[in-house]
Amino acid sequence: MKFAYFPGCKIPFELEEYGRSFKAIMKKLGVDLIDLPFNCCGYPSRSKSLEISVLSSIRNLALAQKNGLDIITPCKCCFGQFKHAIYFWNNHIDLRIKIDAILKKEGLAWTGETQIKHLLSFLHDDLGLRELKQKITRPFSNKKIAVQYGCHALRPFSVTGFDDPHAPRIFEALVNITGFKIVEWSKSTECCGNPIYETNKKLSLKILESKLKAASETGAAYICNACTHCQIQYNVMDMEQNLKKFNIIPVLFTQILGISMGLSRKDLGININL
Amino acid sequence: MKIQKNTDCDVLVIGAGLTGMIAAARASCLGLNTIQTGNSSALFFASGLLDLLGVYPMDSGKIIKDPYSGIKKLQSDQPEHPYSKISQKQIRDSIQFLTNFLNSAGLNYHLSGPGNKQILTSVGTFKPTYAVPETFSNGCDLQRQEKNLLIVDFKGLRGFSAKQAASGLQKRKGKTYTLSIDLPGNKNGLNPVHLAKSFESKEFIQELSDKILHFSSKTQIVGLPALCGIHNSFDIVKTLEKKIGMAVFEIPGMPPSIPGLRLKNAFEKKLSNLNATFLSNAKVAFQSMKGDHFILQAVNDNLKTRIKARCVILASGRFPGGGLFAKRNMVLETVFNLSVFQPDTRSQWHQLDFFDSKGHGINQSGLETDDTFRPLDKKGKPVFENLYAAGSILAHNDWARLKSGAGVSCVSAYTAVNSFYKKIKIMSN
Amino acid sequence: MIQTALQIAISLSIIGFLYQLFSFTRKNKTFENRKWLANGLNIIPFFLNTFLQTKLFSAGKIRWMIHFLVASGFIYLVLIHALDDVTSFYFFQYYQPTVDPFQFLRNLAGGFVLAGCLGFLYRRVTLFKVLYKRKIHLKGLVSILLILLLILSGFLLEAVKIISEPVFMEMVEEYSNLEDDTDLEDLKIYWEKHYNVVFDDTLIITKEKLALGKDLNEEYCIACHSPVKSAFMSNSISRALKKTSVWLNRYRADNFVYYIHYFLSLLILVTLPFSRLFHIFLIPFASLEKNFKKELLSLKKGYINTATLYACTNCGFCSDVCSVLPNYLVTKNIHTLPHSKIEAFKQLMHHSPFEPAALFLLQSGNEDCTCCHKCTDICPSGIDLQNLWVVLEQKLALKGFQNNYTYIDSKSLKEWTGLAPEKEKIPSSRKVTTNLADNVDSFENCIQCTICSNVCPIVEYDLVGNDFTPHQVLNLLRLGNKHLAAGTCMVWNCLTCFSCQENCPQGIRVADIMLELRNNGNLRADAMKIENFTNKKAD
Repeated sequence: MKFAYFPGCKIPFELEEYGRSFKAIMKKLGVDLIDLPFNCCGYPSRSKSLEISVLSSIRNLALAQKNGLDIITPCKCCFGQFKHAIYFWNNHIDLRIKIDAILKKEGLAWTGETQIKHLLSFLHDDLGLRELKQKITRPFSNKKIAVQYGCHALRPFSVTGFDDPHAPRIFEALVNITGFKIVEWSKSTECCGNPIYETNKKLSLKILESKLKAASETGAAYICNACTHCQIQYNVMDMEQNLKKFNIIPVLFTQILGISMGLSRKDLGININL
Repeated sequence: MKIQKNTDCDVLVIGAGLTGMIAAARASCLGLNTIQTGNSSALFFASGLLDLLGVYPMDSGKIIKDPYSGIKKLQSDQPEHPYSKISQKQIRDSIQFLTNFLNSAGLNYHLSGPGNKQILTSVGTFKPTYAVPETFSNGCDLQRQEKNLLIVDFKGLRGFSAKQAASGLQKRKGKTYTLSIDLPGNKNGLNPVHLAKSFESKEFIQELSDKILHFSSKTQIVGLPALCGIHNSFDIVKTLEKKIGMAVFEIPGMPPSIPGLRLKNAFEKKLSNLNATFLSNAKVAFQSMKGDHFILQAVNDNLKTRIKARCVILASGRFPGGGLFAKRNMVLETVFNLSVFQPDTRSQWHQLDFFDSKGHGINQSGLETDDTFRPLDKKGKPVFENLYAAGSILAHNDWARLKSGAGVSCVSAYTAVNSFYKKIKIMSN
Repeated sequence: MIQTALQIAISLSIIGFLYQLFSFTRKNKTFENRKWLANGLNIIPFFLNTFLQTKLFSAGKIRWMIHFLVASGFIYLVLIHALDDVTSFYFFQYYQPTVDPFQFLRNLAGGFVLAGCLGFLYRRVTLFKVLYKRKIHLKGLVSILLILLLILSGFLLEAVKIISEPVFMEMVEEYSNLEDDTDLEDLKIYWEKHYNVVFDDTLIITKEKLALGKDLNEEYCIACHSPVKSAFMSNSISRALKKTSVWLNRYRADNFVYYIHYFLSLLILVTLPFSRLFHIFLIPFASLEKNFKKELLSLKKGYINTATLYACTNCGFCSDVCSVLPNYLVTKNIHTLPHSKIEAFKQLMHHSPFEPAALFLLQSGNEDCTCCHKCTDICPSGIDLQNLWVVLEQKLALKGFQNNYTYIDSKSLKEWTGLAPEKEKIPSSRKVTTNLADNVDSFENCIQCTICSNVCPIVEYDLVGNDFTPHQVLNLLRLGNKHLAAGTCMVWNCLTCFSCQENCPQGIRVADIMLELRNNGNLRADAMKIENFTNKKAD
C-alpha cells in the first residue's frame, strides 16, 4: 500500500515523536509513505476565512491527486478539516468556482478522486484488526489506559464519517489489541481544550484539568491520544503539575502500538516511562 | 462528490428515538446484523418513565390503576389501536426485555407491583406510569406517604421550582418543605446536563448534603430534580442518602431530560457493544426492491450509503421526528410514501380547544398495520413482506393523552423484530 | 597613491564593520527579551553550513552549485590573487602571478565567479516574476553587479597586458640583460607567436629566429612566465582585442584598466559591511546559534538577535515552502509570507515610521503562521525564522496591533454593535461564507430546546466569562441581530467540538454557524481597525 503522508503543521516541530513513531509503524506494516510538498490543511484558518481553509485542503487533495495517491494523516484536526473542506467544496458552487480558478493558475485541479484517511480508520477499516493482531509480539498487560477520542474526527459524523459519534469503538478496539486495559471514562469524547489554547488559555486548561481529574478517578495511568493537537494540549508546560498530581501520563497511540509490535523505543521517539 | 459506500444488513432501523433503540436492541440481541439511522437526541425529550397505559378511556381523563385491565378494555373497545393487535403476554415480554436490556447496561428500572405508580412532576401534578428508574422509586405514590418531605431546587435552573412542585402536595398528611440552593459562580443560569455532571463529583455531593442537613432535620424524604448524575445516577443517589440519612428520589422535569439522556447513553453504549452500526443524522430514502431485499440510500453531508436490507423497521416517529410530514392539505409518510390514515380534511385535524378531552384528530393519524405491525396499503394488504412500522408513527394511537407512549413503542418494536426473526428462522430451517 | 587608497579603504571597511555591530547591539536593546546565544552553540552545523553550505544544498541543488561556484572562485581570488603579497609569495616559493598553475587557476576561478554571477542575475530576472511577486532588492543586485564588473575588469586587465608591447618592454628591462637588438627581435618574434603580444613594428618570422627566441625565452622568461595559453579566459579576450591593440598600447590601457580593477575591489571592500555581501559573515553567525526550542513556543517566549536578520539574502525559499501559502493566494496579503515579513521586520527595527495600514497587514499576515518550522528548516542562511515570528507577534502587540480575539474581547457588546464600520474595506475575496447566518432556512427550524447549550463544554466550564449560550446565539440570528451575535464570547470561545451540531434534533449546523459568525466578526473587526486608523490619520 502507498499513501501520501500528511503530517500537518505541528508534527515536524512540536510533536516530532508522533511523526517518527507513525512512520516506524507504517514501515513495519509495509505501507509506503510518500512526502509531497503539502501546505497547511486549513484548520487554523477556519476562524478567519472559509475560503482560505477550504482552499488549503483542496490544494493538498489536488497535489495528492496529481501524484495518484490517497492521503493518510495521524492528526484528527487535519482529518476533520479535510472532510469539512470536501463538504463545502461539494455544496457551495461559488466557493468551488473560486477555488478551482486559483488552483488552475498553479496547474492543479481536484476532481474528487483523492481519499483522506486517518491513521485509526486506516488500521481498523483498511488493514483490519486481525491483520494487525498478528503483528503484536509484546502486548502490554494490566495497565489501565483512558482513550481520548478527539472531536474533529468524531463529530459531526455526517461530515467525517469516522465512527459512531455517541458510542465510538474504533479507537478502543485498536488500543485493546495492544493489551492495555481500557477504563470507562465519561469524558472520553469531550474536547481537550486545545482549539482555544492560544486565545483563552485559562479556560482551555480548565477544561483539560477536569478531564484529567475524571480520568484519574477511574484509575487510569495513561491517556492515549491519536491526535496531534490533543497530545500537544496534554503536553503543554502548564500541565506538568497537574499530570503529576493526577498521576497520568499522556501517550501517543502510535507509541504504544509500536512497542507492542516490538519496535525499539528509539525508533518511536519515546522518552517516557511505559 | 460524495463518497459512495455499499453495505448489507439484516435489519435497518429508521429512527433513533425510544422505538428505534428498542428495535435495534432486540434485533442485535437476536444476533441480526443491524444498521440504525436517525438523530438520537430524540431521547433528550423522553421522560425516562415507561408508561403503559395511564388514562382510559381517553375522553374521561380518568387515571387507571391497573394498566393491564385498562388494556383489556381498550382491546375490546378499539380494535384498531396498536395494543389490540397483540396479546397481554407479548406486552409483558416486551417490557421485560426492555428492562432487562437496560439493566444490563447499568440502568435499573423499578417494576414492583402490577399497577401504575403516581409520580410527582415538576409542575406539581401527578403522572401515572408503569415503570420508573430506580432513582425515582422512593417518590412513587407520595400522597399516601406520611413522611415529611423536602423538595430541593437550584437557583437558575429553568423549568424546575420546588414551590411549584410542592403545590400539588397540599392535601398530603405529612409536611412539605422547599429549599432553594444557590450555587456559587452561576451567573447565566444552569443547564440540566451540566448540573447533572456536577453531581458526579464528590465535592458537590458533600456540599449539597451539608446544605440539606443545615436546612432541616425535620424531614425524612428528599425530592430532587432529576439531575443526579448521568453515568451512575443510582450510586450517586445512594451516596447522598447515606450522607443525609434520608430517602432521596428524583422528580422529572422539562427537557432536555436527564433520565432520557441516561436512556440514550445506555442504549448507545450497549448497541455499540453489540456491533450495531449507527449512521447518525443520515437521511434515508427508499429506492427499490431487489428480490426480497430493500435497497435504500442513506445520505448525509459527505457520504452516500447504499443499504441492502432484508427487513426495515420504520420507527421514524410522527411530525417532530420527521416520519410524517404535514403538507397544507394532507399528511405524508416520508421514507416509503406509504398511505397514511388521517382525518378527511384539514379542518378536522384539530379541535378548537387545545385541552379538549376528545383529543385532536391529527393525533390519530399514522400508519395502519396488520397484526405484526406491517403497514397496509389502501386495499388492506401489507405493502412489503418485511417492512414494519413501530412506535408513534402507528395510527389510532394518541399516546400523549393515553399515557401509553413507551408501551406502544416497546411492544410494537419488539413484536415487529420478533415476527421478522421468526420468519427467517422458519425459512432457514 | 595606491597604498593610501588601500589603507583608507581598509579603515573605512573596519569602521563600517564596527558600526554595523554597534547598530545590531543597539537594535537588540530595543527589545525586552534580547539575548545573545540564548540556546547554546551549534558547532557542527556551523562548520557544515559555513564551509559547505549544507542547508542551501538541501534546499536547492542548482542554486547551491551556482553559489558554490561564486564562493569558491571568489575566495580563491581573494586569498591567492588579491592578497598574494602576504599569502602566495609567502607560502609558495615559486609563486608568480604569471606562472602556471596560478595563471590557469586564476582564470578558472574567475570563470567560476563569472558563471555564478550570471546565474544569479538570470535567477533574479526570471524566477522572481512568478507567482509571489517578490520584490527584487537592489541591494542584492548591486553586490552581484559589482562582483561581475570586478571579474570582467580583471579579465580585461590580463588581456590588455598580454597584448601590450610596453609591458613586454618593461619585463625585458627588468628580467633580462639583453643588449643586442637582434636578440630582442628574436624574443619578440617568439612572444608574438606564443604569448600574443602585439608589436608596433613588423617582424619577419623565420625558423631560425624562432628557435633562437625560444632559447632566449627559456633562459630569461619561462621560469616566471608560463605561456598565455593557460590563461584561457583572458587569452581569448586578447585575441578579440588584437585589432585595437595599437591604440590600446599607445595609451597604456593596461594602467587604466588596472586602476579600474583595483578601485572596484576597494569599493567592494568599503561597501562590504553595508551590502548584501555582509551575509558571508552573518550566515556563520546565524548558523552558530541553536534554534528556538518548542517548549519556548508554548510559552510564547521568543528572543531576537538582530544580526541574524541581516543574514537574509532574500532567496525566497522560505516562501516557497510556507505552509500558509493558500492564505496568501486568497488574501493577497504579502505579509503572510516569510520573505516579506523579514523585510518588514527589519524596517520595524529601524524605527522608520510605519504606516498603520502596513502594520495591520503585517499583524494579519503574521497571525496566520502555524509554527510549522518549515521556513527555519529550509533557510539557507540558518536564520531562526520561527522565533522571529513569535517575537514579531509580541512586538506588534506592544504597538497595539493584536489579533481579533483580543480586539473583540476588549470591546463591550454595546461598543461592538455601535461601532459600525461605514465602509467595508476588506477585499471582497474574503467574503465567501458558508451562507448560514444570513440564510433563514438554516436556523429557522430551531425550537430552542437548549440541547446545544446543554452539551456545550464552554457553557459548562466558563461560568464567569461566557455571555450567550449556543441556543441564544441562534435566537439572536432569528432576531436578525447577526452583528451582535458575531461579537459574543460564545462565538469566539467556541471549541468547535461540534457536539451541538451532532446532537441538534433539528439538524441545524450550529458549530458551522459559529465559525461563520467568527468569519464575519473577523471581517468586521478588520474593517473597524482600518477605519480607526484612517480616521486618526484624517484628524
